[in-house]
Amino acid sequence: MGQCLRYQMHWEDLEEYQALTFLTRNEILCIHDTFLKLCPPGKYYKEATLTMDQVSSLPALRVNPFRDRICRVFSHKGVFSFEDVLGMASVFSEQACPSLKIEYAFRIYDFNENGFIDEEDLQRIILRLLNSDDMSEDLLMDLTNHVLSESDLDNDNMLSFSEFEHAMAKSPDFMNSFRIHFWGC
Amino acid sequence: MLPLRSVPSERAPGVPEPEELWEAEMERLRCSGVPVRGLPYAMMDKRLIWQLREPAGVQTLRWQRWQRRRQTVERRLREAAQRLARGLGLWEAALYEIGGLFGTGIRSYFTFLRFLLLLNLLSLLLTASLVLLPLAWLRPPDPGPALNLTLQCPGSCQSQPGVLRFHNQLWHVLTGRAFTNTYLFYGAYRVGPESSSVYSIRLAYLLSPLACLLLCFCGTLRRMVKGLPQKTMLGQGYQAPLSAKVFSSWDFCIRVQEAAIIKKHEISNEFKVELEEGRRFQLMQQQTRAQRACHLLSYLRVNILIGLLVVGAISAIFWATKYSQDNKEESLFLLLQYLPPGVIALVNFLGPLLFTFLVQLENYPPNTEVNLTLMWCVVLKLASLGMFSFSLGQTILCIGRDKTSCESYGYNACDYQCWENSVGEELYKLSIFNFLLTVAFAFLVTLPRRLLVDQFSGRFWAWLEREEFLVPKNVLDIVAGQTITWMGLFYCPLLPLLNSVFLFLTFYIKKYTLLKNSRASSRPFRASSSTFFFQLVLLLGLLLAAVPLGYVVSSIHSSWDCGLFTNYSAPWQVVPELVALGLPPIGQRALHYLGSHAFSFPLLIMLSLVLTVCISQTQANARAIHRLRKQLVWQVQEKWHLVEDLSRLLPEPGPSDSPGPKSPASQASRPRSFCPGFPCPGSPGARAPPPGPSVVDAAGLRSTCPGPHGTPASARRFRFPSVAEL
Repeated sequence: MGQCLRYQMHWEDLEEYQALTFLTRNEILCIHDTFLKLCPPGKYYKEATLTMDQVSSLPALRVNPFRDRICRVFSHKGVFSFEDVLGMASVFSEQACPSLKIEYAFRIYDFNENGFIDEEDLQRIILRLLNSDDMSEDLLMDLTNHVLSESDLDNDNMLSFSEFEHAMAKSPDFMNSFRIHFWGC
Repeated sequence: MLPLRSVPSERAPGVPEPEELWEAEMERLRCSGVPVRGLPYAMMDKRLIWQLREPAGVQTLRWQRWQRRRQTVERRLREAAQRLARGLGLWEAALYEIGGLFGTGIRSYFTFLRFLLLLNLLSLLLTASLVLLPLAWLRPPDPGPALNLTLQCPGSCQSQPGVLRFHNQLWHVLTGRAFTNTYLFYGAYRVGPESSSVYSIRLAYLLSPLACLLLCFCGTLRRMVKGLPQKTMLGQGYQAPLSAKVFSSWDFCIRVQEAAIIKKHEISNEFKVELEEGRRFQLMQQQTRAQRACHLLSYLRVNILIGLLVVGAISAIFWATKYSQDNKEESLFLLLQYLPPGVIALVNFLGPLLFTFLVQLENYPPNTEVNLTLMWCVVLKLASLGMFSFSLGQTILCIGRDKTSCESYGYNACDYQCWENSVGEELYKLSIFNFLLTVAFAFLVTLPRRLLVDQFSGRFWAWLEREEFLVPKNVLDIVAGQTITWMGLFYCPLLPLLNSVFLFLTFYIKKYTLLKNSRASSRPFRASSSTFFFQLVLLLGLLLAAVPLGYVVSSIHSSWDCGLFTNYSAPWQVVPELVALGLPPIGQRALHYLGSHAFSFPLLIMLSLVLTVCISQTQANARAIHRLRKQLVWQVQEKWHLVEDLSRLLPEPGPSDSPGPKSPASQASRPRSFCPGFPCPGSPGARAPPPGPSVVDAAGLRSTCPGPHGTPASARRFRFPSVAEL
């Protein structure tokens, strides 16, 4: 793809991004470089946008089973601006606080976007996590019922955000696994 | 709170205006203490909130600007410190590659290795700055020739003339003889008598191993607590492992397709194992008492058998060490030098294989199998090291046997002129042997195996396969190496340097083995709970190293001929002497009081009180959580009853309305939300208001309008539960 106009990022912009995200200076500059390589030619980087397909095919997201949901959650009107990409990298960075990660994880896992993770969402999550040849109807139903019986505290067959947060707060695995390095430089 | 608008509305009284809710929300965000970057909104919205908090146009006072700059600098320093604490940013690229290819489970082994390297470097820094630098700076005078004491030794201590003596330089390096008079070993440190004005090298030498152990203890404990699974803190029935696993099992850092497929297999295995465990647990609950007793007996059976094997193994180590020390002048001297490490390595190689085989004979659930095997491997490893140090103590210091040869000087002076050096040499040999074994296994076993398996295609080779990269086994190896280093801190102060070099090389060897010669393990490895377990094993190793050190430092007479503590009955006696010399009487009395019973008993009582309070607080919290949970269920049931009553009272919905009842609040157009694209999650009241069509407002917030989602979402919210659920 062509390259955007090669503008150096202004120092104030860099400072502002550092204050508004959890990324370090090097990471922001790396993402800036990657963005410039991908965006359409002739545009200023602040106005250029990337399509969801372009972001889905970044090496960091290429094999992720939830990449379509990630793109949907972090994009605006179906496209990614530079700040959207920074926002995404910030949430997935190592230094991000747990509450932020849990919040976005909930949005990613909420497939039908009704504000709850219900049975249908759970089934879709499990289907994405397993290979098709390991999958069986019984396993799916078993797992869904197990998860709901363990985490659904108010018995409405759905997980609200507080129930999700409560289940995730007890798992230090989550902070380790919900992490992507977008910088590859 | 902002004042109510005066515009009359046709909404039901008590329902807030959308604009008011939005303004209230903005006010809440502006006043909350959460840093802007932690807010879950798009960048533009965060910028708006940031500007609301610190209006740019307003004339900022000088101290405000200074404060903001100070905060930025603080933040940068904190980030740099965190990076330093995580391991100097060493090997970040390699870890990133490993995580992407194999997931966080295997990556955790390498981060643990980096952590141990950091501990060793810090220990070395401490030792060097407390002991070596002052020694080089002050250059204390040699105390002169040692006391001329006569020894009455049974038998001749001279070496037989016919013995084959290896004068090879390499052999001297491998056994430590080449370094006997260097600062590597205890014997080379010498200072004059103590005085109060000069820096006391003796005290520094005595306290630096203790300080290193304390530092490592705090570091390990801190790391352990950070990774502690929270579920163990709460009461019964509060485990949610499976739901947490479903949401956190995918490693978002994986970026290679093969690794993704393997990860999916691992996840499906793990889920099946969890469900199986759950079913077994249910079955066990329904067992009768007789069946439960039978089950317990079967547990005992295999554990007793393995226990006997472990006892046999460590007695083999004991005899090997004794034989090696007793027959120092034999013609097989070369082989006997490395007999104890050889036996330890053999035992630790065969042991796990036997344990796995025996445990699999019983029909245990998979998790129990893994845990049991792992526990026995740890016991074997630590027990073998403990037995090694005990048998050294027996031969050199006459612990546990008749004390005739140790009566005169408190240690076996006939055979060991400088016993600390001998002990240091043994530990040095063990450390080197461990490392050489790692290298040998990597290049003489794993590499040929891979070459042969790739080259030939018979059935045997297909069954043999490449070696699995087993994280627990590798972690136990480096923990054992670290325990040996800690044991040798007093006798061989520069052993952390050696261990650092070994760990550094081990990283690259293991990385090469993993990337080129291994295959991924079929059994999934949960990084968090096992990281906790390995930190625990590290602490046990630290304890194992600290107990003999404490005993030696406080009760054993040092060599009369070499080292720093020649004239003291035990190394610890330096401390009272220095206290008497250096501190004023008030200080001496205070220290005396601190060491006496009058202080320790009240301290102990106070600590017990604090512990009791913490425990009862935890129990009260668990009870409160249980109560609140029941309350939550009752309230939701009440809510459904009310919804049913309401649906009976409301008129029948027409064809144009969406099905299902709606609460009055849902009739109003919902307030604007910041969230990109769709409703903000969360229960109403505590967080942002319920979802609904959001509008792009005058402030320029970028929110899209999920029009068609609006009404069906509300209907889905108030789905009727079936009778069975209520």
